[in-house]
Amino acid sequence: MTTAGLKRALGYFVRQAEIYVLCIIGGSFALAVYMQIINGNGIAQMFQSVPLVDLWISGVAVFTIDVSSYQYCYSMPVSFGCLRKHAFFGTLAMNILVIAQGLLFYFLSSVWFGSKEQTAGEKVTEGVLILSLFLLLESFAELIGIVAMRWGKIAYFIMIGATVLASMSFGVFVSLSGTYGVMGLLKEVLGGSFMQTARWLLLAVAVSIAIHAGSWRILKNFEVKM
Amino acid sequence: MEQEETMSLKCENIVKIYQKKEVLKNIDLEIEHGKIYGLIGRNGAGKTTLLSILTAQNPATRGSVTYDGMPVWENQQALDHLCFSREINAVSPFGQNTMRVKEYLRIASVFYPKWDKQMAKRLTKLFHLDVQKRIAKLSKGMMSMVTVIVALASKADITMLDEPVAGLDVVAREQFYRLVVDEYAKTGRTFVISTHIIEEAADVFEEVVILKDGMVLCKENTQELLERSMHVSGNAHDVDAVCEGLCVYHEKKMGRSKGVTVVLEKGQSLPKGYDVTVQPVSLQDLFLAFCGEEEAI
Repeated sequence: MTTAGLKRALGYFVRQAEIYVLCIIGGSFALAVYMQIINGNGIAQMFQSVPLVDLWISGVAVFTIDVSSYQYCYSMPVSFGCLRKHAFFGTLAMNILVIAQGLLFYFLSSVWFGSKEQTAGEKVTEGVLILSLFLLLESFAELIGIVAMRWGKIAYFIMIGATVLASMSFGVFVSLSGTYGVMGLLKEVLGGSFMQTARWLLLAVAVSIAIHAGSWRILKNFEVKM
Repeated sequence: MEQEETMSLKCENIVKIYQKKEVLKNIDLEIEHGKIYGLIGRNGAGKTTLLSILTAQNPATRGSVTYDGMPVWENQQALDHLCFSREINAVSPFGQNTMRVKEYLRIASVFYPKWDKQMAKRLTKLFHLDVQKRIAKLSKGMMSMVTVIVALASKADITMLDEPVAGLDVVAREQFYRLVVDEYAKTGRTFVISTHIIEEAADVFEEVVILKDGMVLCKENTQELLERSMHVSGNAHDVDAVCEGLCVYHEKKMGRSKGVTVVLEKGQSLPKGYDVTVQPVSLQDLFLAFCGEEEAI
């Protein structure tokens, strides 16, 4: 019976992840093409920015899903008889799938659209760096989601503020990246060697575990308010 | 009637405190198999909170809830038998209201193990619901219909509905009660329905639970309760004499005349020989007597 409940929860959250993934990929193509048209570039460069745009949209998706999770991911499933722990693991699974899609599609589209040449080592290092950033972003959003769950309406303002701040920071970062490119500047700031990025990954995993453990402490007594 | 007779949902000593306010005060209640319950009480009496706790949607501050002897809290085996279809918030920024009706019903079908897809389809047609519409775009009545569809199609053994007829027009309300009674006759499912429109539902409720200030004021067979309740009116002196030693509610005085609602205990009867008028009361009158404010005209 418990396994059946978990299966149902995973069925729901994986389906949600599929919808998000399709929207992210579709959105990435649409936005990348739109950006190239605005910049007056030709058909040859049309899809060049797809990998980076996909990363950006995936980040926004992970952030938004987590921030709104207390309403969207917990309220409805729990009100339909889903256990809190199943909703918690389901949400985690959904986030992992979206992050995995972000990473995978970034590398696949980089290969397809030939935006850059990289050695296998560089790819791994870059992958670890992106994964670390995704984990930190997801943890930050989870923290906001939990604050929202705990403090209700005040948290809406926190959410809006944090989203605006995150978007502005990203905008500033992109504009500062200049000739380095976004990934290039990230490597400059965070360190480009595998060992340096591995440290970032360890830190991100530790932060993620700490925040999710705290989140579960609040979520295990979650109250449905609709 | 397909279900076993022993299944029941029981809560003992339920206390719920929000901040410093005690919303539910030591509630003991047993929801038995194969009955339609009416849960009535004034706004803020704790109806929704009680239903939420019975279905583990909210935790109780103290006390326990069991289904067939199993704790309900975080227990899938128990929760698979329960459904609490609550009102949908129309203005929540990330809530269910942002979904299309079709999507909402699809998600409900994922979580309710006995979901009846055909029934959901039939009811959406019956209520003329546009399944492509977003819930937030629906009228209040249409939103209530969505919650009714979820409740009925869930096929849960114990199904609870919070204000299901809120916003429904008289035709839809009639349809709703007919659907509940039909479903009850076919399956023997238990329904707990909270409502403020008492008069219309009185005939449907086999048992009535009246909540007042977070306490269960009365839980009884509706017919039996009405049979031992009456309105006594006449000269204040005679009314007082007739009602001496009886449970009297809701006194209304008008000059020398007086009217009271009397609820007799088992074995009690009204004394004869007084010039008073005795009339039967409706469930709504009785609820007013129990929960209305005392007034003197």
